[in-house]
Amino acid sequence: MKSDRSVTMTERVFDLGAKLIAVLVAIFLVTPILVIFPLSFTSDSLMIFPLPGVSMRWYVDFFTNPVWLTALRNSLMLAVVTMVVATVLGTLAALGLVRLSRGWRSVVSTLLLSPLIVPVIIIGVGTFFYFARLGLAGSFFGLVLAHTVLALPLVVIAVTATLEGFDPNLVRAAYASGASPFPAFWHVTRPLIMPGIATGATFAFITSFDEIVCVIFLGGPEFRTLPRQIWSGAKETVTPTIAVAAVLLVVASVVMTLVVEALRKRAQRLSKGAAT
Amino acid sequence: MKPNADEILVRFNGVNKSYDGSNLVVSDLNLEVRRGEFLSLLGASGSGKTTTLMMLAGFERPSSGAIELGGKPLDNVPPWQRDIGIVFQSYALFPHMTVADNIAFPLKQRRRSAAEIDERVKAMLALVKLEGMADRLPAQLSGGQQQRVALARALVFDPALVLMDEPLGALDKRLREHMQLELKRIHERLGVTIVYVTHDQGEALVMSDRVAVFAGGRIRQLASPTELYERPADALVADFVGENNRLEGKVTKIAEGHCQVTLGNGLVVTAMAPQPLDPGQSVVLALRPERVVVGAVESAENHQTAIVASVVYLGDHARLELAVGGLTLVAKVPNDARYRAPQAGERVTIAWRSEDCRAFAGNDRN
Repeated sequence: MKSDRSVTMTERVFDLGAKLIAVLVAIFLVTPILVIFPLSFTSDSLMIFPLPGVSMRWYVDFFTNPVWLTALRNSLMLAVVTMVVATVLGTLAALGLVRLSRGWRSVVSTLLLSPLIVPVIIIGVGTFFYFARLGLAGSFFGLVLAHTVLALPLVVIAVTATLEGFDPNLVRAAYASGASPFPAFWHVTRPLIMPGIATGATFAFITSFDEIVCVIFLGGPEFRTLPRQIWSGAKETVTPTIAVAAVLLVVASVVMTLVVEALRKRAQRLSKGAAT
Repeated sequence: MKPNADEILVRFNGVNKSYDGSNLVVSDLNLEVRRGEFLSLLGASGSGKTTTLMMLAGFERPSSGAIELGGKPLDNVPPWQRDIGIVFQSYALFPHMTVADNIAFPLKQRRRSAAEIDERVKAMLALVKLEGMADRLPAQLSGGQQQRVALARALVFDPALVLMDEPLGALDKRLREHMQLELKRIHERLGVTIVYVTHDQGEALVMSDRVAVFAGGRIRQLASPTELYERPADALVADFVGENNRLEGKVTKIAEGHCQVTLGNGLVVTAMAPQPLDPGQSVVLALRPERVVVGAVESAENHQTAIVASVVYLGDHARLELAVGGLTLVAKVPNDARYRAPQAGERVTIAWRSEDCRAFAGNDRN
């Protein structure tokens, strides 16, 4: 009896311990992000706790200050163009990848995914010297290329994952119905792997939207994005406006992730229904 | 009767297929499909039947040899230009399209007018008895209904040829039998040519005008179901199509189409010899269980005394296992008003006619 009880006690302690650790890790991860939220609503011009008062003045400052607005516009432009380029190329790469034999597939996918492993600073320095020679350093186009390199693996991973559950007979059925490869892709494959494409596109957008290393190397002195402006703001004139910019970055990422999750759930329902 | 050249829709000329360059999955295939017929490719998995179908569909290329459709070579015609309808085992319905959109898809690809598409889809839904299901998604249909949609999609554009790859494999037995008759009805009504792949010999016998039995990448026999069952070309076909007693022995005497065979246990029987045989040669005898007459004395060439080892009651017939001098024979006896099935342990006389027992050269055990 007694030993029985002590086993349950041990189990309970372990169970509680695991939960406690999980909560601590979550706090550790989230607190630095959450701290910035109240600071963006401060009425003071210093970022200090406790807040002397609540106001929207720094939001007004952000949306009226041409420096921040330019940075926001640049970030959005860069992220959207990168997203389009990376999504198109990444989807095509994933489609090609699943057709390769096993050996070639692992070689090519390792190459495609290598930007995830290589430190960003190396990519930044490398592309800087390489692009300088080609006259691409300091250009918007060069920056799009560098960001595409960073975003492409995420698109490839997301699209490959949906393609793995895809019945290849569907494409054959489309061919047998008289659809040549492009219409077959457009009417059959594309709608069915759309959740994967959307997930990849979102990650591509976020990757570019908050990237700073390549922007510093390749962006040129005039080209300021939100992360870069936050960085220089934090160094030079510390105002709570940088907290506002940070909040906007976080909110954009969270919203896009939620949208992707909703899409994924919807797609799951559709494919589950098709399996029965 | 030899069919005229213009009656031939598909022709395989010496087609070989190998995936690895050394093992032939299909070897030296010569096959003609007549316009309007229902031809089944029957065989175990790995016999080359599905590869043959995939080459005809254009999803696989022959390693050598040529395939013609309607007299034109198919070598460089991609699948989407072959005008062949295909029904897949997995149905392969487009899960994001409604039933009507699935059926309309081949017509949309052919840029037919909206009015024509509407009319054809309605006609197809009626043909496969799915009126009222037009707006459902495939996920909302039963397996049998999905199968019908797949069939409608393969037929809607009036292809000269429809290929079916074990389309009934995923259905339960009762539904499968029902769909077999449905398919036969649709084939007769539309007059379309169907090439049907199956490993189920019963299915092939029920539906087909002709059956090609595949084994080891070759056609062992191409014949009507009756011919295949009554006059199998070799022991393998006899084993594969229907149930069969297989007896091994040596030829002791030969006389114009008949031969005398001494079995392993010393019994001597007479049999038909469809192939030329030599005295002393090892042979395999094939004898259908329902041709073994139990209990009754008839003017049959082969009489034996047997002990009934077991009786399995199957409603319309009983299945007996008979011990005949160390061999086991299976016999099926009808359950009719005039006949009483023997009991296990009973000693009975059995007989069969030599026409019902066929001797084949015994070296092709595979």
